Amino acid sequence: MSHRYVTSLAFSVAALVAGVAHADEKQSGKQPAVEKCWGVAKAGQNDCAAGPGTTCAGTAKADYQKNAWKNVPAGTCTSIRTPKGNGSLTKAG
Amino acid sequence: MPRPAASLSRFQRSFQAALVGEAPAAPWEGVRGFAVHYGTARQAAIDALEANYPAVACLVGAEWFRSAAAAYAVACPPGDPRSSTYGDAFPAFLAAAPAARHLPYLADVARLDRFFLESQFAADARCLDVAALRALDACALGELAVAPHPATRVLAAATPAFAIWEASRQGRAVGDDLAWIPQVTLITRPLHEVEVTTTEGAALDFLDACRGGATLARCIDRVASLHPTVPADRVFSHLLQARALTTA
Repeated sequence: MSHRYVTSLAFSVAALVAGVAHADEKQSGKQPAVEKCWGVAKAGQNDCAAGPGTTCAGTAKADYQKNAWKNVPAGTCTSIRTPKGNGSLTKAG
Repeated sequence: MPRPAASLSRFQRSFQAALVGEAPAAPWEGVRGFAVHYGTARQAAIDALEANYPAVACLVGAEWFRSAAAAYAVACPPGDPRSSTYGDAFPAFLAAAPAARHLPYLADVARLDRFFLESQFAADARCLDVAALRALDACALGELAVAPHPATRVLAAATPAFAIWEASRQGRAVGDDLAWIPQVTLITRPLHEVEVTTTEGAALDFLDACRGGATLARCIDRVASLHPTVPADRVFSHLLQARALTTA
């Protein structure tokens, strides 16, 4: 094992410790007193997607069947310029 | 429709196969009750992907995204009841999709959405911090066993993935001032919240060197030999402050 690096590390760690310790003090002041609560955040995703009071049967004909992704996307990607130009206006394939 | 009493396992296999197909197939085709299950399962998979890949959804718009998600749900149906982790192969799916070929940054942005999710749900572990190092002398420091924290992820992209991801995650369009440069992104979870920053390529090599556990001296050596012009202690310092490490 190279002792050269271990030694240089020891020198730099002194400075490192001072710097990080300062950042730690700032950070420790804002530690929230919360606990993780698993399984709550995404509740609802397994519910009947059509909502209460419906039969759900209608969702079998949802709009995703249109194969819209063969077309030019309509999100914010239309503004991104790649080295090959504005990508979203280039024909796929 | 197979009768449940005949053979429960056969009934379940047939039901499951029909549920993940492109469309309800025989013997389930036209069965009204089955259509409810089919529509709801498909909708739930698409909703989960949309929730798990918010930056991608922002980039391509809801209609394009949900259509891509429907194709993914057929190619890779959920294999786990937890929808919050559904879609691990979605970045690879986008990378291989002809429809996304003209969006070279999309798969990288998807990988960042995925890493964010993985970081969020990763196991807890004590973060290596400076207090643990303070007491060690040079020799003990070199022999300290370190490893990436379970919630740490890093992505070295050929695209400005972080800049595009960050704007999209906030629902913003990427500005005209986007510099088309490769970006290395570091994802960590110091407390309970995931933090995402850019880093340097040497950080990736440091994390690779200590994957599975290695001494600090070995990691520093590895970084120093791969990147002779990069101060290895700066790399270590950044990983330490980002809480990217744990003790092995």
